[in-house]
Amino acid sequence: MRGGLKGGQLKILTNDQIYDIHLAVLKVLEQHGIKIEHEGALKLLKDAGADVDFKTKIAKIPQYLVEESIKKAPKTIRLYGRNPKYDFVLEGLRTYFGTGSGQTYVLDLETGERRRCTFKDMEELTRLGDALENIDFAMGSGTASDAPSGLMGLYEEKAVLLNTEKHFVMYSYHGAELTKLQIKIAELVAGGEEELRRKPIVTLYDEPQSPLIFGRDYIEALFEWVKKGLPIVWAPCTQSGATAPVTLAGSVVQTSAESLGGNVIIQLLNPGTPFIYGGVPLVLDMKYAVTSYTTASTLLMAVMLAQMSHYYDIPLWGTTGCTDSKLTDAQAAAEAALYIAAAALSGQNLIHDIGYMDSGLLCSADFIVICDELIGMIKRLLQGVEVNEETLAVEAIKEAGHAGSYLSLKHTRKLFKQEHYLTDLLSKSSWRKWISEGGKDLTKKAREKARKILKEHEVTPLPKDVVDEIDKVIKSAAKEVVH
Amino acid sequence: MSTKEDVLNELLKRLDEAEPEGADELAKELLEKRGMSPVELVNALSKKLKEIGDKFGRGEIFLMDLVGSAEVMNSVMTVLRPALEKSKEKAEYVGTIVIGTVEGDIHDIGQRIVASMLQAAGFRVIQIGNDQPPENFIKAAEENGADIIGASALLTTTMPVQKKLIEELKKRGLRDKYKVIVGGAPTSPEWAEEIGADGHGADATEAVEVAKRLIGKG
Ligand code: B12
Repeated sequence: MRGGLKGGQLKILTNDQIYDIHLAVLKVLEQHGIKIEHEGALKLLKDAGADVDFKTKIAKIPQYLVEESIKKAPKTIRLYGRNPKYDFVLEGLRTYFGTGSGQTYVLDLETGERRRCTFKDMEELTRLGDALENIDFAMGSGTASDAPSGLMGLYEEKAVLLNTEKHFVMYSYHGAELTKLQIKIAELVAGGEEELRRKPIVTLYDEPQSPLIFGRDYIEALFEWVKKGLPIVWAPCTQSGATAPVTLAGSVVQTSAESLGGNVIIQLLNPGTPFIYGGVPLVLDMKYAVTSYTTASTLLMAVMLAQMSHYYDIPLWGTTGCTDSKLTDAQAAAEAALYIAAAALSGQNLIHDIGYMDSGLLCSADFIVICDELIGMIKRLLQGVEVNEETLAVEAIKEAGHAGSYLSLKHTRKLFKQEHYLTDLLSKSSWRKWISEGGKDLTKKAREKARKILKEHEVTPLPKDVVDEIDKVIKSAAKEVVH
Repeated sequence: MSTKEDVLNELLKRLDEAEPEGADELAKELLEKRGMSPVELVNALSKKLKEIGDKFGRGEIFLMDLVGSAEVMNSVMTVLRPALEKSKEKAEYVGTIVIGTVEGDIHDIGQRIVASMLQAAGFRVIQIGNDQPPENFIKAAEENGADIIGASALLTTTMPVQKKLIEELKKRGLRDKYKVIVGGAPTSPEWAEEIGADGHGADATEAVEVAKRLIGKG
């Protein structure tokens, strides 16, 4: 069981502003509504009292339904790893970090070359995340571009479940059929349907389509998943200026409306289903026509969403550890550091996308390692300081005396580790020592650490019969699903 | 008294400032009261839009300005289209392109930006939207006498539909009738070559360059 440190120190919205945002969310859902390309969901909403137009497929959701569903969503959600030491509880201000998935390209760890990502890369990046101390959960880093296209979701699931013992947040790729198979594989690994429900080792990450559309495939996936009572993220990727208002407050309003609109369906379908609220705040760069993940605006929106989630008291799908840089350089580290600080200090909960580069199109092992290092440092920030007799240290000050040294004090020996966090890769040595150790920059050191981990780190394998069963599911799907 | 030039300049200013208010009326006035031929008007508007596109290329204006101007052009075109169809002269389009996102894929921001840029470069652009099967690309191309078909795919899982489009064209004996260009984040020039497409555009600017080159206007 892992304990998540509490954030929440960083706030930019006043209570009054939070309430204004909430009122705007209610207005959007009630007056403008959501277009839902799924008959079943529309019926469900209609029966519950929503104003549904089956022709335009627009459901206008009254305030009380939104409020009721917020109340029905669990305030604390326990997520499981296939090894219980990685279980954790999402709640309140507690923060947990995980990788991000779906990047098309990878920077080759040996050559540094940008190339298409494969199933093997996904396996390696997952195993890397399994070893890294500050990574709490996994997503399917990269893309299995060598897998048959209709089966991507299953290959992602296999790559991750075989290569980590940590909790897995899985992409929904398309439709009911694929989702059923994804559930089947998760049940095989968990040891059965009931076992998976009791101890969900997988959360589904499913998305609305901004602005204000719930696509058929994604609602189908939601239905399959929620019927089983498994935890689900329903969070849009809003791009401010393109698929959401150009204003940050407006983007957060729309993001919230889309996410909470999904929660209404989720809680009607199966009350008490663990729902994770939020969105990935993006902006469309107006100069280059490219999606940006890390700008001052995305950070601000991330903090706003954290504050909204605390107001709703529903765990948040957070975002961090991203860069728009094309390589693991100073920009990458700087952007990641700022984002990790903003995400952690604002008290986001299930915080994903560590290792996202180049607008979400690129990943690399060295960048994930650097993020892990930075999270370690931020965690020390979250721990805060203890102020008591011993730490105020009046006695120690007297003991050291005028012009004395603290180096020899027992006080120093006793409290050093509690007070000071030591990083692993960041250069802290003298110039001479640094040179004698090869004069390597951070990226080079991160690359070496990644290689070492991939050489040495082993993940407890799944029983052979389980792996065989997984392969059978994939094989049979190859006949049905591929379209 | 305002002259024909004054009214035209007023309309071009609307285009420049991405201000749709009153643009339709100005266009109507030019056609009906000022004796401007529809072709003359389209050409004047296209020239202006091209200037705007070039400004975006040089980083002097932002994407929303360009898209806003293209939207004004679209709304004026609804007034102009019937008049154009009746007219004997032909507007001087660089070419006609059908563009959309392939079946199974709903990512359409990039494709819409490409459409605006192509329009700004003087193309007639037929947008068919997202989640479109190969048949719909072909149908739109046939109906509109297109020169080029542009297909966007943002998912590794939907890239194969671009290939299907080409196969479908071959099957119908139409492959040589159209140039096909592909784009979208996971695609590449190598992919375009592998599936037998005629070109690839990594971004909207390149999309325009490639489209022009393919029809000998680059
Ligand atoms: C916004 C977004 C969404 C939005 C789309 C909203 C919309 N209306 O478009 C939503 C939230 C709906 C969405 C959904 C999904 N998404 Co998405 N999405 C993105 C994101 C973040 C940005 C896309 C974008 O708008 N880019 C900005 C535009 C301007 O750039 P562009 O599209 O690349 O276009 C430029 C060029 O490519 C080129 N171009 C584009 N089209 C064409 C066409 C021609 C002919 C030419 C010549 C050039 C050209 O010119 C354009 C302008 O310069 C990307 C990441 C990324 N950076 O691409 C992921 C991304 C594409 N999505 C991804 C995934 C996995 C999904 C989902 C499966 C996730 C899920 N579980 O729900 C679904 C699939 C939905 C579906 N069936 O299509 C993955 C793809 C992974 C892969 N390897 O296949 C990406 C890469 C993110 C990631 N790392 O996971 N997504």
